[in-house]
Amino acid sequence: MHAESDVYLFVMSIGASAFGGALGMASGIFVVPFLTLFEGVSIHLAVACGIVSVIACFCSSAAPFLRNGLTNIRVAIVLETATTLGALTCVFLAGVLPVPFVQVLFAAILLVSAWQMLQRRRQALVKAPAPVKARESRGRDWATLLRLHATYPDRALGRDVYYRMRRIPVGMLLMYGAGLISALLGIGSGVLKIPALDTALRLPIKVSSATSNFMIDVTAAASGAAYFARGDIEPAIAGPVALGSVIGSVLGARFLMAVSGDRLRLLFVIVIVIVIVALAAQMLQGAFHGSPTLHMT
Amino acid sequence: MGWVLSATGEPPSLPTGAEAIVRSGIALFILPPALRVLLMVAVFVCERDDRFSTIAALVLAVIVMGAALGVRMAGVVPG
Repeated sequence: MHAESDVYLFVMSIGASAFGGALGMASGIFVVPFLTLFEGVSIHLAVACGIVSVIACFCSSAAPFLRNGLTNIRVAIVLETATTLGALTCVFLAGVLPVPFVQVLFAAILLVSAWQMLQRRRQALVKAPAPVKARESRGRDWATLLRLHATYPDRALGRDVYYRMRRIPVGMLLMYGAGLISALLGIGSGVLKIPALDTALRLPIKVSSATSNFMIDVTAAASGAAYFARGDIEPAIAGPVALGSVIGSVLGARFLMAVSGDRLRLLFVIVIVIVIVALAAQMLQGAFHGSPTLHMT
Repeated sequence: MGWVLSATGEPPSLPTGAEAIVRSGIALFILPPALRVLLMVAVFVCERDDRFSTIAALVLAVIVMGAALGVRMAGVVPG
């Protein structure tokens, strides 16, 4: 079973990352439950491994977003101060928070992701709302002071679209929370960042997803460096998972163009529901001391 | 590559030599985003944008601080 085991982890990561990549997300959200539920890895090691897989997924996908001019780098670096601080806070918190709390939080985040996928499914059926017209500056706010307003090229309209940013402090607070949850659960938490950028800061949807992707790996690097230095990253698990994630996310991005989004999203919701049920079953089995003994080999 | 996976579900471990190689490989994954932030600091400094070079430096400082804290907390990992 020895040599099989790392091949198994490797193949699992390719699958998880290809699926994630096709949906435009990192594979941490699949890798972490997989490791804890089926491999019997403790949640702390699984989370550290999830962070590595998140970085591995995004190192292959951020470049194309930068090239098409959708990423607002100035906004990204301002918000990264909040996300990395959140990640740092989590390094303090790790070990204080009880494992069941982490599991419940994970399940909650999974539910939010599933719900968001369904929302997007409906939105795709309706139609994208017309962009708000650019308004003149009203007084001095954070976004104006930092010159965060910008334009992005819209291919459909064939011209540059101007957008203004609002409510930076609220956005920073949400980003801090997103960074915290990302580090705590070993996921990219794009699922929390994108709505925060959309609703709090009022970024156009294309800009918000590109900017969020740009921030995810820096956030993950902050917690990843801390976990790595602390020795939480187990090479025997993280090695095959990282390699699998790179290959999987590249495959997934190709796949994205070939398959219909609606079916993928539906599949995602089904997978999420299965994972939630499995998590609940594991918790009910009395795994309250944190080291589940489930094994499937 | 030999795996030593104990029956109690403890994490598997690699032979010492291989572990060092895999460990440095993982470090290579974590480094690039941090280096990108360093690059952003450099670009903002070149553009003489004081405000943003400070902000980017702050992000870099947080990442470095995380690693430093991690080193200090090594060994007190909860099960």
